[in-house]
Amino acid sequence: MSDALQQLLIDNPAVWRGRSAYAAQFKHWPSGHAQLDNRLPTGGWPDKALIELIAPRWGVGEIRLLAPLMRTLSQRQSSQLWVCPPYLPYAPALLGCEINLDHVAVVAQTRSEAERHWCIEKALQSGACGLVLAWARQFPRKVLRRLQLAAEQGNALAVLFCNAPTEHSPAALRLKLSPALQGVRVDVLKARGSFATPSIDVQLPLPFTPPHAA
Amino acid sequence: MVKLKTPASLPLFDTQPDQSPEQLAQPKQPQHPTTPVIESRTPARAALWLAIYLPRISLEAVVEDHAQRPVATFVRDKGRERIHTASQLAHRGGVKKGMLLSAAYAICPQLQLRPIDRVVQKKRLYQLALLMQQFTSQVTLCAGNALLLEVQRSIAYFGSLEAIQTGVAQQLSQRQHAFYMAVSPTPAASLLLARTGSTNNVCERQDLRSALGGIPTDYLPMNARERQRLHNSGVRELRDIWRLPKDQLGKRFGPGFLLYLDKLLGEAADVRETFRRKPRFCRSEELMHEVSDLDQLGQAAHALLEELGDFLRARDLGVNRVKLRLFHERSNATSIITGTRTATHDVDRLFALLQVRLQQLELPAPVVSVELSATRFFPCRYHNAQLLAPAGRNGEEQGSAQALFEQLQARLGDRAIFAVTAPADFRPERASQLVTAAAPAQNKIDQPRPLWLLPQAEALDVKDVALLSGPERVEQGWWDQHDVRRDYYIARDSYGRLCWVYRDLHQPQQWYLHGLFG
Repeated sequence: MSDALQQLLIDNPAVWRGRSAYAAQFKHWPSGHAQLDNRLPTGGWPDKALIELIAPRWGVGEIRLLAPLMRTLSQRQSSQLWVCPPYLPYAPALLGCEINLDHVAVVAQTRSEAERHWCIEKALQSGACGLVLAWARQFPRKVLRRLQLAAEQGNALAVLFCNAPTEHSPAALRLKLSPALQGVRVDVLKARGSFATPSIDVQLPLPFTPPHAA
Repeated sequence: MVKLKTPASLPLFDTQPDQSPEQLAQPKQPQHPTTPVIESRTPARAALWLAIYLPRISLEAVVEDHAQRPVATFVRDKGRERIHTASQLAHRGGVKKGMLLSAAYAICPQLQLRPIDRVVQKKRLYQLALLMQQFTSQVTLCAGNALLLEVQRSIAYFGSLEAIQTGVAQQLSQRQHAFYMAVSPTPAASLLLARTGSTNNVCERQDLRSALGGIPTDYLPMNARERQRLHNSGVRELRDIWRLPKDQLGKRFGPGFLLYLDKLLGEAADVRETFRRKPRFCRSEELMHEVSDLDQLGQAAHALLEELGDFLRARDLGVNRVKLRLFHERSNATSIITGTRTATHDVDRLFALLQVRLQQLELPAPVVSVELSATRFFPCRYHNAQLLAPAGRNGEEQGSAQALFEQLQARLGDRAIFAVTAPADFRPERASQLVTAAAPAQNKIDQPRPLWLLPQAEALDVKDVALLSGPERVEQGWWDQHDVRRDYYIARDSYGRLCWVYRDLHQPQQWYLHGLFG
């Protein structure tokens, strides 16, 4: 295959070329969790894409799952925007995860769903935010498509937290999260470039020393 | 020897000299029987200062027709209201400065009173300073009731000093201002001469000593106690001061007084701030036809912003607030005010903000003209752009992050976007804050802390959770009414989530959910 053709294939993530070829070539962010990296076709979080995390309620370990990514990005001086978080992001814990607070901005609330979507889209498009985290009960498919385009345009990563899944979502990666004893259980609903994989338990560092280990 | 009028009663320094208002009302035409006429044949002369003292400006600024009726301004002094400045008719009726209002009414029943307004007075002086810029480029505002003009460099243009003085007098009397004018080589001496009501010009520095000699010491800018001390030591006129040894004077009245004397005689530098007009930007554009299309309005606004950009670039200034007004045929104008967090000269950035506001706008009627204005300007540095743009996620993004946050703020409101800080406080609810202006305090706590904090702790039944680790005691704030005595535990709730719960030691049976480890 000619180099030009090769390059064309690399530049277009929509063309599926089998797992090994895919994983090696596309830009990705290591998730910081070995079990997850092994299971994802890109070998980590995809770049310039939407990630959908689905859980019926928050606090199951979703932020601890993303903490290594946030740390990597904040070390690269990349801003992150939290849009409508369900609770208050707690500064001492963020500092504990070595996330630089200078690069964290929070949109506490918006007056309407439409305003929230506008806000996420603007942040992604601007190229000023490396990472946009947004919470909603559910994102309409139309909105997801717009956000996907905005993420590609602005070279940004969007992580959308929703309580209910959207049918036929265009997101590059969709994970269902549920609490597990040692961390969080991750069901891969969709990963661009691979077939469905069985669920995995991702071990998250516990915030305390378990009594039997001591 | 210059002859000066010495009033019998000695007023305070910044009061009007005790001259009858009749004399004040018709400003004297300059008379120069004794002073030499300045001629342009003397090359490179030192500065010459023309002082204009406006004794009644506090009245003239608030009352238009002060010449036609008895009117006076009053000021509150130590809890009692006293007359500050009286008009000519009121003065004729016997109203004097410092009189109690009741006394003034008793003497002159038809007297009308106005409170003194320093802001209006300042504005009037500002207008006069603008007016005086036709005579010289160097105008200085002094103490709210005087102006200083450097006229040496204007003499050649106007022909003579008298021509300038006549011009100034004409301008002031047209606006019904009572005034005194004096010319001398130092600003301080000019002001002093003007305040004494002197009409003589002193053009040479060596003449200053004798010209000032006859001025009573009561005109000097000193407080009442020092003035009394000067009086007690037998000093009545400046001439008496010239005779005293300097070191002794310095010991008794301080180095500030000596410096003032030196400034009077031009022996010490007297630097005055030159008055400059504040920059203002206001441009409008008439539209060719009535416009209700927001895109077309955006184009018109962009054209005006380009002009603003040129204006700012020429002056090295930036703005943080611009106002766009849209005029309609029959209804009131719609105005949009938008601002950036830091002063900027970047037109595109301002345009993006305006665009956000324009898109939200509901026009009551088609627009016929657009006006863009900015009133507050800040010095702004112009950075060079980078030749090779660094790729990807790095510091370059920070600048545009500011722009993005401004844009979000423009649409979502001022209290929508926050930074996170960690103030140094062990009380969990105070160890993290959302703040609008980023001043990040970064105080790390070594104990385990949850990533999510509930805005309000929720009451919880301890039987529903399994305690995993703890307790960690937090006992703080007994000093400031927000006493916190709690035992914190990490627990797992029935959904399998890791929670941060506490028992309130003030009411030991009650447990609360305070955070989630997320």
